[in-house]
Amino acid sequence: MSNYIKIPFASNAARAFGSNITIAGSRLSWAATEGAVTSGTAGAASAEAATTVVPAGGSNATFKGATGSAQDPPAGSLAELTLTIEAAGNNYQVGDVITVAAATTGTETEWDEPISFEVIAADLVSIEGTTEPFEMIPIDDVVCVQTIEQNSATVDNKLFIATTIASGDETDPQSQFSGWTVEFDPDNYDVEDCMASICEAIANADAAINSQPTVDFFGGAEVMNITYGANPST
Amino acid sequence: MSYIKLPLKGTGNPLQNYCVVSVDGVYEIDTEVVSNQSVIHLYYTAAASTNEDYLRVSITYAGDGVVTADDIDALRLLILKVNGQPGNVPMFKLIDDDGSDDYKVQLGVGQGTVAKSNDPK
Repeated sequence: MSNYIKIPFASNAARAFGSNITIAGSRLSWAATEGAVTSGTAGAASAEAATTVVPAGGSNATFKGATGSAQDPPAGSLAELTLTIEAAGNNYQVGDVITVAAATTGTETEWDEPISFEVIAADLVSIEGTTEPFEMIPIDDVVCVQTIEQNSATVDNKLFIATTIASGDETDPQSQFSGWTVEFDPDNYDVEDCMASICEAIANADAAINSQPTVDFFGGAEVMNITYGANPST
Repeated sequence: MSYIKLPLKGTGNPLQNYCVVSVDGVYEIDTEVVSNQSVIHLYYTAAASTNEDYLRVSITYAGDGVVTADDIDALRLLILKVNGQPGNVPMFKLIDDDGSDDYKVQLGVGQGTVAKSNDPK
C-alpha cells in the first residue's frame, strides 16, 4: 500500500509553439485590411515573418508561409496559404490571437497585409494533464525535495523529488538516485515557495495515511510536466 | 515512512515555510561547516547505484556554526521518536534557533536538502 500526493497540472500554461506545427489556411484571416497572397515562381516558403500577440505575454515566434506550388493565376486567397513555425518563441497560451506581419520580400510566397489566427492547444508544446488533471506521486520512498544543478548552476523552474531508489546512473553522486523532475511554468515560479508547497503535501500525507493531499502551490505556480527517472543533476 | 520538517529560508507563505526530509533508514548523523555554512549529513541504509556507496542527504543551513553537537544528539532522539510515532511530522529546530535566517535551511548550488551517493559512515 502506497501513500500518495497529487500534483496538479496547469490548465492553460504559457509555453512555446510546437517545433513542427503548421497553421492551415482555413484558420487564417486578414488582421485588419484584406490583402492578397501571391505564390511566386514555385509557391515555396516566404521570407520569415514576425508576430505580435494579444493579450500580451508571448514573444519571439516567427512563421514562414507557402502555397506549396505556383498558381496560375496567382493564389490570391488566404485559404491556400499554410504557415509553418520558424521560431517557437515562448509564453503563448491557448486563446491568444497571433498577428503575423506581411511578408513582401523574396521571390516566393508573399502576402501584403498582416494575417491573424487564434492559438489552439495543438499549436503549443504539449503539457501533461490534458486528460489527467494531476500526477500521482507515491511518497513511500521519497527522501527530500531539492533543486536540480547542472554545470554548477541551479536549473530554473525545476525541482526534483528524490527517492531512496537507486537509478543505475553513476554519472554524478546525485544522479545515482531516481525520482520525479517537476517542471514549472516560469510565470509565478518561486523555488522556495514551490518546494515548501510540495513538502507541505508530503507532511500532510505522512500525517494522515491515505489522505492523498493535492499540492496547493502558493503564489499561483503551475506545473507543466513531471517525469520519473534519475536526478538530472550533473 | 517518517518525516521531519526543517525551517526553510526565503518562503513567502507563513503556512508553507518548511521542507521535509525522510528519516526512515537513517543510521548515522554528523555535521561539518562547508563554505561558512553548517551542514548536517544524514546517512541511510539505501544503496546507491555505485557498489558499496549509500544514500546521504546533506542539509545546508544559512548560518556558520549554528549546528552543535547537542543538535546532533537532539536530532538522533527526534528520529527515534518519530519512528515510534507514525503520522507525527515534527519540526526540527536547532537548539539556539532564534527565528533568524541563520537557523533555516538555505537553497543554492549544492545547498538545501541534497540526496547523493556517499561512502558508508
